[in-house]
Amino acid sequence: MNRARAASNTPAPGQARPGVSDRARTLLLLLLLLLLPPLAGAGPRILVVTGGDSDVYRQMLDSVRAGIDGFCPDVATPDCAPRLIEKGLDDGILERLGQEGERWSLIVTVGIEAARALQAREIRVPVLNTLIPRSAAAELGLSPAGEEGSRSAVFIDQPLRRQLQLIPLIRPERHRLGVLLGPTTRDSAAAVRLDGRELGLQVQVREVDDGDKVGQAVRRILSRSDVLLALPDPLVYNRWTIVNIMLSSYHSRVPVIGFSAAYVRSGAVAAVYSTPEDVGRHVSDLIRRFLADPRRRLPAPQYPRYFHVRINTQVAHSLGIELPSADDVQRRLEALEGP
Amino acid sequence: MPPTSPLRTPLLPLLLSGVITLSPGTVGAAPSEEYFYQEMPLVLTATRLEQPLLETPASVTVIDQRLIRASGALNIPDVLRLVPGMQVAYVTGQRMSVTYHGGADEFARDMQVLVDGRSVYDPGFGGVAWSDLPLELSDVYRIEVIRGPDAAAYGSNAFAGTINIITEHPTGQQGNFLKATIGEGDRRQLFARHAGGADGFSYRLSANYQEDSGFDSRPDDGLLRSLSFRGDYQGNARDRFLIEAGYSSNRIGEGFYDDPFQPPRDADHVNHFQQLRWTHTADENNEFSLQFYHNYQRIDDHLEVEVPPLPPLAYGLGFTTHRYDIEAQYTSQLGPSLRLVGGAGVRRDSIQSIWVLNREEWIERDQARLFANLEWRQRSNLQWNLGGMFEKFEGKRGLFSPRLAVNYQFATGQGLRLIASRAYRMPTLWEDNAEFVAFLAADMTPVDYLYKTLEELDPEEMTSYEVGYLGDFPRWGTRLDLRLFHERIRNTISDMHIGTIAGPWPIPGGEGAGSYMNGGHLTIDGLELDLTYEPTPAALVKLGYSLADASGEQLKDIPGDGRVIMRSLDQAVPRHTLSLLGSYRFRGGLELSSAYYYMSEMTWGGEGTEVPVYQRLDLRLGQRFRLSDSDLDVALIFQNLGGDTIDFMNSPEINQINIWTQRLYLQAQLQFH
Repeated sequence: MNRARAASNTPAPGQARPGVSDRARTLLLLLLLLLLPPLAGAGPRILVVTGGDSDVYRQMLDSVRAGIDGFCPDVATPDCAPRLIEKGLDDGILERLGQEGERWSLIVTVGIEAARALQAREIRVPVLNTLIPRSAAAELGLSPAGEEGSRSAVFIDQPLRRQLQLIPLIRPERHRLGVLLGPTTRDSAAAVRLDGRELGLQVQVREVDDGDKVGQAVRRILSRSDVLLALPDPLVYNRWTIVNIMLSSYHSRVPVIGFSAAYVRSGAVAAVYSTPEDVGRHVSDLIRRFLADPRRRLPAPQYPRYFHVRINTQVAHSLGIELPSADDVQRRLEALEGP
Repeated sequence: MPPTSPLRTPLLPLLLSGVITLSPGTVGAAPSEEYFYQEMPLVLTATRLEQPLLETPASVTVIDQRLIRASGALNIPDVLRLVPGMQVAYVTGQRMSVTYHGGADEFARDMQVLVDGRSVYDPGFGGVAWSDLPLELSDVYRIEVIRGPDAAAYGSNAFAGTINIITEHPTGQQGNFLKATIGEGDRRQLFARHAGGADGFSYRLSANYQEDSGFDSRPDDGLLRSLSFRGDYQGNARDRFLIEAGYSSNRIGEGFYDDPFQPPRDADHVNHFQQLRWTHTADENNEFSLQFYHNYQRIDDHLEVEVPPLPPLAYGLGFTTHRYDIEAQYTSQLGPSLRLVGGAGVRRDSIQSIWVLNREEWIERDQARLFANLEWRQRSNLQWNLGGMFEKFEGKRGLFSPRLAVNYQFATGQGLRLIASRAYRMPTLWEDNAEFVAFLAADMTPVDYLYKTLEELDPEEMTSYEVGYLGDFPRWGTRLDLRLFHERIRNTISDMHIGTIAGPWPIPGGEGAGSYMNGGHLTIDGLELDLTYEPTPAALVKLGYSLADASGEQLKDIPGDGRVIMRSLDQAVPRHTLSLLGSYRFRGGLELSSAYYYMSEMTWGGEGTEVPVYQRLDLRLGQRFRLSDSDLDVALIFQNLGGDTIDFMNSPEINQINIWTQRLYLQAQLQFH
């Protein structure tokens, strides 16, 4: 299933593996470490701040760990492997950061809550916010087109262009795209129109600012659309509205493109999304890049590089749409984004 | 990959940041990561998906809100004129009979009608009390009509066809809505709706007031008040609940101006229902639902007549019925190519009427049923459907209604279907137990029978074969459904006269009485066409045509002298039935639409007579205005532009004739935001 692209400019784990001559020394050091457990290692220490305990965090962090496993940014340093130290927000770690700030090479926040908590503090350590929605960028003072620097992010959501590129792959002959925006996604209106037009789509955008109006707005937009693209806006798309949206779109014979696997299970014909593992893999890429960079700078905030495509063949079939396989769609999307 | 800017061009961020700073109003709080990974309700599960039309084991006509609006119809029966092969008659200005392939009187007993999965078929006299339903057109989301028997899925009474009326989900109606109609025929209507909801619960409450004076030639005024409620609750990702209830009271004029036995009078109708459904989606491939409903219908209609030299007599057509129904259904996607729908249900129908059944006690009839349909996609372009329903009615032998269908797609968007099925029509409680009596008004002593059933009736049995073609050409905006059918009905329940039935004091000149007996047959061969043409989203043409060749006969009279007189049924089905609708939406909110209906001469049963060719031309001119806080839709509706048309009843010599004259209505609809 996981067929996400591996192409990357960051060094692959093998390249950084210690040479044969280093092994004896490493072993010796390891032995010493065993003898002296209280002694801190010399490798970079990365503080991971999570909003608490959840499956999503765990999956993401497992993926980060797997990604940096065996990585050593500085072969000359003994015990050079970076170490992830995971703390929950309730640990009080933020209060102590001021005093022990210098001990950390990088702080990785996981989830919006941790990102917000850290945002409120003056910290001199570079911070990488992960698993946050793009819509939180402004609130967190992250500029999407920002410079490289000491603050960055890996978003959860997909770049708009990737989602839009999915549409011609699903409905090559139909061009009317409906997009329903709410308070969270309103800012995307211009981008949706512009990017959509570039891909040859006639974009119909409708904005809703009251949850009660979603049903009517959906009906209106469905009457003028061949495809409905769902963008992550809790006012428009939530567990309560989705029932009517799916049923109305189905009866209007307009396929929905969702933004998570759950949407495809619910009835969307397709979705492109990043799993926590996908995000974790991207985060580990960034950590390695960061640690290998002598200037220790983070790149600009990014959308997840790795993603999955899922399609609902049964809904598509019922709507009379012939779909390529999810793997095929994914490959074509990856090809469109280039190496 | 180099760290890419999330936005492609350098221009966009600038543009966007401009939008951000300039955008007024609230910016929504960013959702948490849970939002992206949360479970959603399983809505379009495999079990719930409809077969694509090309794979459907039936001919289906779908009428959506656009068609409903374009038709200019003011009630559901008029909308159904758009269905190929469907005949609609106004028995009075307030009572309609909607039948498929004719063969009906004032009660079209051969069709199943469901509203949100609840049968509204009247167990007493059969058919549907259309104008009593607490359901206004504005709440209808779509109507799906299955043309041809579908007893395998919907049980006996899904005999000639099935009408599925689906009301709109309240989340699509949020806010307040008002509709007012005024026009000729003293029509005044005010409909109001409020829809709201929170936390997974959404509801609507609709109220309707409506009055009109019916046919100019008859004392058939109507005054309807109704109230209906629908609530939908999504308990969690897997459980949802539907609750509906409605109440209507309808005062309608009955009788004739010049008939001393049927003088003008008012009948009071009360109709209410309650419905509850729980649907549990176990996973993507398994769904279970449990439904309960109750329907109530009461008609108060009785009168005293004084026709000297007879003493004052009392008789009536009033009755009360209940229907209680519970059904459990299980749907399972057994594999990529196999789907099973199965279930069981029980029902209790009951009726009480001193007037037409001559007894105080309730008559009850229970039914139990088991049904299943197996859908097998043998290949991607070849599907089989094998279904059947077994029903056991109290006091009747068990019935099995099977259906076998095969669909084959020989080219993209084009397919053939072959269907063979058998269906039954159970006699209604009235047909089975009729004892319609004229009483002495003074002390309610039975005098004479007007109707009396003498023997236990068997169900009518239909065997149907169909060859269908469906072509879907999205590029041309065209969909064509063509159907050739052969229907054979045996054992027809004949509405007849028996000369030997006599009450204690037979009324002179009224020897014998009406009765029901099995005896007769009807064969209908025909062709049907359902064409939709949507060249652009603004333009719509819909054509429905049916050619039916009917032949058959049924019992008409057993005078008592040894003769058995049959009635020909060759004209019970009109040879041609046609509907043609065209609609165009102009820029600026103007919509112009017109519909034309044609029906060959035919003979209606019961109170109905032979009627000449029926033609009707309707026109609707609508303009939509966007106001600051609402959408206003104003329409002028012309009905029956062609002038006088005779409907259902044509006995001018006794002044019993339904004549439609031209009607002009003005309608305004206001949806508040």
